Amino acid sequence: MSSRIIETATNIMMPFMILFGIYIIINGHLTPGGGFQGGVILGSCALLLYIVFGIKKQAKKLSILENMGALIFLFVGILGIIFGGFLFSNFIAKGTPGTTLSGGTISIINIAIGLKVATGFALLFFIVLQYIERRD
Amino acid sequence: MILNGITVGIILILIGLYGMIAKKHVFKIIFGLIIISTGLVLFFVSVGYVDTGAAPIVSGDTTYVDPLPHTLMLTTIVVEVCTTTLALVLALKIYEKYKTLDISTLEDL
Amino acid sequence: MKGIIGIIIVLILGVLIFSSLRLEYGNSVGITAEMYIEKGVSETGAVNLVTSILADYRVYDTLGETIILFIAILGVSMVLKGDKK
Repeated sequence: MSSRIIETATNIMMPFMILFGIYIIINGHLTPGGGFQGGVILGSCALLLYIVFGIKKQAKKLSILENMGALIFLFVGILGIIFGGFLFSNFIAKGTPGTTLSGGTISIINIAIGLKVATGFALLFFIVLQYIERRD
Repeated sequence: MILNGITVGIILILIGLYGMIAKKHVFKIIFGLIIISTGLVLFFVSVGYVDTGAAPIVSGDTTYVDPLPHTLMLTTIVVEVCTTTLALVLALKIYEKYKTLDISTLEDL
Repeated sequence: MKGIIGIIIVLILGVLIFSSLRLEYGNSVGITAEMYIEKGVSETGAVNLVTSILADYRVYDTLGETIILFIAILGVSMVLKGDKK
């Protein structure tokens, strides 16, 4: 997989793909999109990097990020008990509908889900590809 | 019978069910599962459809489609990916141990 | 043999489903949809109703779904990394 054309195209396109994924996650409460969709886009970026540049050892640390996404998600829910009275209550001020800083906890939950889904899919690809590479 | 989203979704679910019952290759059974999931998504999104309805992003005063099936199907897609991954990995291990993916051969082992 | 059984089961199921189908395409009868469309924006503050249901009204579904993703990763890594010889 050491084609110069693919490597150059990946080098040029990769920042825009990552930016698009982050945009989908952060604007999830305003435009079509959300945590899952943006997370899957970021996970596909990771798959492209694996295919083009091979697997690096640092990819093992992805599981820490994956657990962090789940922990942020649960932490927001438990803060909802303290400030709102029940699990996952929307305790932050709602803001003006249509602006970026609206929706209360929805944005934070979207970012946590996006982090978890992106690293989770990257981990799935990484485990299977590493197994196939090790078997050969 | 009119071909619209609901009927095509049910037909896809039936095709996938037939594939899961009749086929003898492990990959084809997993593909039947994927076809069932796709038909399910099509069926539920079509159930929530309203004529001349816009996407459920509130702006102005128009009619919108039902947002609940979209949400549930979003969950279904991720669960389908997880199930498919686990099933394919198990099929990989079956092939490595028994060197075959045929169900009728695997039953005799 | 399996093919014949499959065709019979699928045909019976298809006849049963299509003869009892009472859903009309284009006329959604979702009872909760009116409530979501009327009150969704003022209750959650998010314009996108799908996200507001996903992350506010039905957040327990999302919680269970993330748990499913976690268990899938756990299962894949256990199956593929189990044999260290």
